Amino acid sequence: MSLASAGGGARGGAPRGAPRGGAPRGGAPRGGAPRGAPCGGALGGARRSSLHVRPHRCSSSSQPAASSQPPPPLSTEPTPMAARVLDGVIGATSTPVGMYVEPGDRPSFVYRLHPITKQVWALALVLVPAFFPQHGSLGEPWGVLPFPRIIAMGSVLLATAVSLPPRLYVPQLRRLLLLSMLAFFAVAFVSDAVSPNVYVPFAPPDGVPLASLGASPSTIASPDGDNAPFCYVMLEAGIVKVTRKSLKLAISAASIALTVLLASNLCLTTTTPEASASALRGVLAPVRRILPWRPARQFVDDVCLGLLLALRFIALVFEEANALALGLATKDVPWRSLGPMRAIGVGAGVLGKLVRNLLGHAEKIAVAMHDRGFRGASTFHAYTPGGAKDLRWGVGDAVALAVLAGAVYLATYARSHALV
Amino acid sequence: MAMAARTQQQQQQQQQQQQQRSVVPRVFCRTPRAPRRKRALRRQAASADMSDDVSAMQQPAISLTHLQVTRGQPGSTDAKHVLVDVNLEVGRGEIHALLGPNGCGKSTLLDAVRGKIKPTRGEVHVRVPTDKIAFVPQNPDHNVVMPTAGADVAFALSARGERDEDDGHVMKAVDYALERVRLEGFACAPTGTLSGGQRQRVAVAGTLVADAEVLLLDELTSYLDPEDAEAVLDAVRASCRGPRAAAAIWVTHRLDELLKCDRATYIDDGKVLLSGSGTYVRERILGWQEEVAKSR
Repeated sequence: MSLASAGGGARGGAPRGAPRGGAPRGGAPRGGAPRGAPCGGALGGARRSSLHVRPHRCSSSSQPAASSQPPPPLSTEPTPMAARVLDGVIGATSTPVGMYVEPGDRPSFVYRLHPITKQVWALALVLVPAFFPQHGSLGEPWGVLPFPRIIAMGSVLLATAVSLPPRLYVPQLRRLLLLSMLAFFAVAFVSDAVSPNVYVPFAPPDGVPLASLGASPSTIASPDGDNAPFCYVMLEAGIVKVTRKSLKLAISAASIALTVLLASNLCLTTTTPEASASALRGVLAPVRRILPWRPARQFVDDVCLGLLLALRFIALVFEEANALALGLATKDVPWRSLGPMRAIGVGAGVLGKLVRNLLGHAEKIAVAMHDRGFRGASTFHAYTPGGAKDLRWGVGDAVALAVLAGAVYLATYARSHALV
Repeated sequence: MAMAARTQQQQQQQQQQQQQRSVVPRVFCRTPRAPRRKRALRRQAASADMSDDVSAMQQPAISLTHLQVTRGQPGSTDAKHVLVDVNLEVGRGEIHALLGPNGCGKSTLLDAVRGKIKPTRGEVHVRVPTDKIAFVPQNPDHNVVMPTAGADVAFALSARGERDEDDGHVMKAVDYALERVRLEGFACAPTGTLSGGQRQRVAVAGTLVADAEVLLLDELTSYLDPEDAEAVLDAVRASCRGPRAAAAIWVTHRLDELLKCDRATYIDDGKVLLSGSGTYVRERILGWQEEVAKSR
């Protein structure tokens, strides 16, 4: 797949390896809307549906082309949650996340980096912020923001925006942001909502009331000493309670999740899977040499082969989920009359079928591997199609690693001098 | 004159080879030389193997004799005869087409040749080593293993531990195979982004690289357009006509492909109804179709 065709579905001048349904927002997955799909019926009249949002698609299948009647007005009823979830699955699987995308004529600098450099950078962006203390001063106006993690996240975002075209990374970013927002809300609502039970193994000093030990403070004197109290609890509604501490934890969790997802995605998008596996084998080569016993060496081989098979399986999972979701969408399931419990039952059934199909795929791939001569990971040496080009060290790698070393040094210096 | 020149060239080549051997330092000879008696025994065994090879080349690579496959318990009421008294021979360098309606037992026959199914009656002889039998299923998702097209084509070589260190022979083999199936420049393409037909061609290219001597190809062209189907069939023909002289069983529903097959067999309800050259079987089937159309 070329970057020229990465987000579109334009088959005219695009290379033949265009992604399966790598459609931008609003575009239908490969194959477009199912021919027999009724207008707004399959997804409950979804206004947002990528399958039904284009009236001309629906009218082309259900009405004669020569008809001059205006299209019927779109339903203003709210879309059932099940239809939205189905729509989300169809849209998510049409975006190539975690899959290698071939560069265009002028590959960006990330493509030219050695896979080890990219992996080291990705690891550093996750690990280095973890060395910074979590407990900032909650009393300060910007105290809830974990700056090191936000800087790391911003760096990955910047690298992604620079190295990939917008039509490719914007849909990816939207999906990954959704996942990180899930982490944000889960941590924000839960982490400080329930007061922990505090057991005091010794008697508290005189004058300290026992009731105040287990509860979170609602107001705290400002650390600046101006005696202006600030609100610790920012939101409280029933069992949901958002405090400054939980907000800071939530921002940390979301930024870490987004950093991990974005960095992994950038590595996988700009590196062939075989080059990634080869680089990983190179990194783990000392393990093979140092550890003499056979299981350790076998472990390295298994990890590298497992990575390759997992990366192959990503595409299969997307395709299978897409096929099942499209199949369900064309069945015109009356979600509104089903009710939430039966809709969940339908979803669980589809999920079970997805798992069964994937296990069937895995079994058949295992048989095919055996039939094609595979006798074990120890004798297997994956061929890297890019050849030495993908695994060549260059000036860019030296610069990238030097920048990383400088950033780590600055971070350590800032931490030791309490600048952050 | 030509014979004399040829023998002279052969002598020169032998002399060059002997010189090259003499240049190789002794340190590379890791195994000590065997005693004279053992060497004589080895020579004898090698000559016996060669004579066996010659006779094996003359015999058909695949031969099925009175093959019968039954699903369910034989003799019980639910037993179903999938294949009944099938006789088939596929020689080396031959493409044998297998036709028939859906469910007539074509895939079962391939499974029997692969050794996945034990026949209820009859014999199956495949005169090549087991690792030289290549099978490409109808669904390419079940055969494409690696995440990138080039790596999947090279899977058989990778499984043998062959590396592309000095001579780049793996890369050459992969590029050649991809070219044969009209997928030039697709070595780095992710298999997840290829269409079904492209993935099918990747699977075929992987079979061409594997040095297989028996090719079992199950409805390869069902995902392909006519041009690509012809290219794939040409690639398989080249593999059969090449030095390996592979034997191929080509399961298909397209009558036009019979023109490029050496022999063909039509199966219906587990029984062989028609067998002969590709052209003959095609004409007979077309004749049947005309008769049926007239009778309607």
